[in-house]
Amino acid sequence: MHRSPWRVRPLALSVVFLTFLAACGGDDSPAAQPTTTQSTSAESADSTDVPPGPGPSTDAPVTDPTAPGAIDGVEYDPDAVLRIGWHLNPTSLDPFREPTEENLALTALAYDRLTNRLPTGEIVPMLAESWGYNDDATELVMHLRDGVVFHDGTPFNAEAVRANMDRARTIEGSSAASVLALVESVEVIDDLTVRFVSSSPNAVLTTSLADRAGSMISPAAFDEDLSLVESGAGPFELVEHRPGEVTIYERFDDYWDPEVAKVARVEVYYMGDQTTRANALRSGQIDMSHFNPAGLGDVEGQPGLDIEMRPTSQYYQMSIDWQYEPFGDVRVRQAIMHALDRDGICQAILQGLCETYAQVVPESSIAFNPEIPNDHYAYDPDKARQLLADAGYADGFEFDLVILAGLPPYGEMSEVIQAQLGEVGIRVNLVPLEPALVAEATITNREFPSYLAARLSRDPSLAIENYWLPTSPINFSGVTTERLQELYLASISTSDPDARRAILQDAMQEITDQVLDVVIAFPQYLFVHTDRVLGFQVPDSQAFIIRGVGIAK
Amino acid sequence: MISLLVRRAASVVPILVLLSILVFGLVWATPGDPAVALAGGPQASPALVAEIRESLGLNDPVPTQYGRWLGRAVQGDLGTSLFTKQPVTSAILDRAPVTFSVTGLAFVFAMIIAVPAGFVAATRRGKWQDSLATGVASLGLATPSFLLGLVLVLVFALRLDWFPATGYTKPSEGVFEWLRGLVLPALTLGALLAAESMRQLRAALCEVLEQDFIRTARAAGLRQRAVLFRHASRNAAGPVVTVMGLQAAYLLGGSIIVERLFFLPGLGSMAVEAVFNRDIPVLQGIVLFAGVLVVLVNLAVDLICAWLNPKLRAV
Repeated sequence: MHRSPWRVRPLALSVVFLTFLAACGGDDSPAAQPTTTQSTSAESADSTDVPPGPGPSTDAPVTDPTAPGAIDGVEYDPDAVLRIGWHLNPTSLDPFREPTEENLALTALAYDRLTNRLPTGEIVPMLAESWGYNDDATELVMHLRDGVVFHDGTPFNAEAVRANMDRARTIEGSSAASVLALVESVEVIDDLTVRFVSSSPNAVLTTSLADRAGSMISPAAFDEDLSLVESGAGPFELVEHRPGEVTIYERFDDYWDPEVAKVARVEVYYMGDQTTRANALRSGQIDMSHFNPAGLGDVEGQPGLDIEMRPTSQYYQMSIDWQYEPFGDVRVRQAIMHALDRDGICQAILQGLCETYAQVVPESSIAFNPEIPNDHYAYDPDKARQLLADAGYADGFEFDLVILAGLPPYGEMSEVIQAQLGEVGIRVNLVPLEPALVAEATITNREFPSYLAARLSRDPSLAIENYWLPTSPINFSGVTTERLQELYLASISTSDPDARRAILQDAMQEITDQVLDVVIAFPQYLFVHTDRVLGFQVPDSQAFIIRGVGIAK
Repeated sequence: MISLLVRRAASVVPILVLLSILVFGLVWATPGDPAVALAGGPQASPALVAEIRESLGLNDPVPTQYGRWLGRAVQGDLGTSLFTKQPVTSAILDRAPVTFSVTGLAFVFAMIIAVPAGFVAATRRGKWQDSLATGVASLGLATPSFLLGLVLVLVFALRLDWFPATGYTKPSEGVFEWLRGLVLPALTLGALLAAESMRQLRAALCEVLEQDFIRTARAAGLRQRAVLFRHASRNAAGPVVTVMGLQAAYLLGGSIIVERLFFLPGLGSMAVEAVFNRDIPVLQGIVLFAGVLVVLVNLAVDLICAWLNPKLRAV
């Protein structure tokens, strides 16, 4: 069956809505807020694929994981327990069914993927040791790691990859089906070699396979209830799961890379309340936890606690429907950008813990265009009024802005936006809606022309595919340009890193100039841990992964 | 007394039926079509929506659905969690001991505080002991439990390190640790009950102590202790027991905040998760369970009051 790259993905959209639901359950953190997240799940990396060849880990000497060693010069305890206070509550332990991106950090403990993304965003080998694309990026050949076994003893091989891909593409409610939609077949070449054949150029596949789509489950466990049990080839093995309470993992002794599991046990406690997590951290009952800026005061300056942060690809933005008349004019969209004091919003509402890039990716992304300064749309109400007058809206206009009711920081943020746009004559009516109803009321039924939400861009090609193509599941459908569509096709047709970088940076220029998103701010992704936790790095996306993290002796 | 028991138990039946109708109606209280909501939103595949409609029996007339649901509920089958796929009944039974531990201990703490304080305040009416007890009780009534909980954690867990700040230890893993972990949440939850019960006890005792039969008893030469504990306390107990019964609902409701604050895996935190996840079967199960519990507690209170006051038995 031949599929066009513009294929509509209804499943993806259902995942988006699930994400709305699940996300609002979690907590007050920006990360947990109902984001119109990239439904495809593709975790991915703002990075290109490494050239074929042995991965960095393959040369690692085989050492005993329980032997003592040091991380950053500090000796760690190989028998230690790492206790994580997790702010969300996963729906399922099955990476192909759990809709919330952030929870993949947990499934990644037990499930290795075919490729891996480092906290820096680089894609490196994991269960696949090396790979290569054909010239038009429609075929990908992967060479698998030898001698890998799943927790249940089943050997990992090409047949297992094929079985997993079949499952990922066919199970009801698969959150990876859309990201694998272009994959037509997965062929077993020999025991340790597989070929992925796509119906059209698909150079982002290796990126997607670093995420849930590439999670390898033991085929022997397919018949079990994988929402409650896990059987992967990851560094930690599930020993106990009490939904909504705790999930406990122990080191898998036969894991292929002895440098990963530096603690004997990982305990994940589901603690929705940030104050509770702060108390648990301060009293030493957990070792690390995610925090949102608003609650940082509880742990700031406490002895023995370290705060780490970095901006990720998550950002707050206002989505607007170009078919609502004033928004169809690019001058009006640019006027909105100039009318917003984004630095002021960042300081006042996000405690200054954010960045205000003018483009939709953070500086760490390969798509980040260094020629677009952050003040490309500087706060300039006069210029905004001029642009509105040029567009024929000298007296301004009026529109309804939907916000996710009851979830900080959307309420406060929307009030500031209302005031600032009011300054240039744009009258904003705020419409708070129950989070679960927002997507239906806006994107599907188009009852309202705009809404305020958070987005995760991550892999830039996948972001374009999700948000700004005519077929994107979370697009008002009209928000696109021909040039962007061309750039998107070009970006997924090349696996050459330099070529892809140049194309994506052009795409950022287009998105920024045309204001496909009213970007507001990129919040810092914050983690707090005790000073005994060693080797932890805040990742570039929302899925943080415990690899090589230890506890000091 | 037996006939009273039967009569009171019979009067509970309509309440339970009403409760079950309300709980069943939760499905219809969610915005939009429940099947669509369960399938993940308006863009869910029609096949999936149809499948969910079929599996939930949403295509049948509402009374049929109610009858089927009630029939299963009576047999202890409350359905399966949409979220964790666990049977709701077993999930509730897993979590109920935690909630009962906290609420039970909260009740014990409340009595330990309220009964002596109430007696002292009533017998030293107008004196400093009375003012102190009444003042502390007013403070207890006015303090929101989340604030009290935070203060207790700050002082007794983070500063003094006497009790853990969060978490629950099963009694099977150590009775001492179990108790230690419950002290702060139980105090948090019990404070309001203690304050309320103390004020009720004081008021009831004050009233009883002014009655003629007390003066007669005193005039007859009975000692203060005998007057207080044998004659006054039994007469004053009625209103206090009634208040305690009413507070059972409060304790269950308050456990939502306390369990979340102290990270206790009980019914309260389960209810919060179920709301966030729109896990309707779990929510129905918890509401039904809590509702039945409150009805039964009130039945017990009625019977205790009747035992305390023979005049009520005839009613």
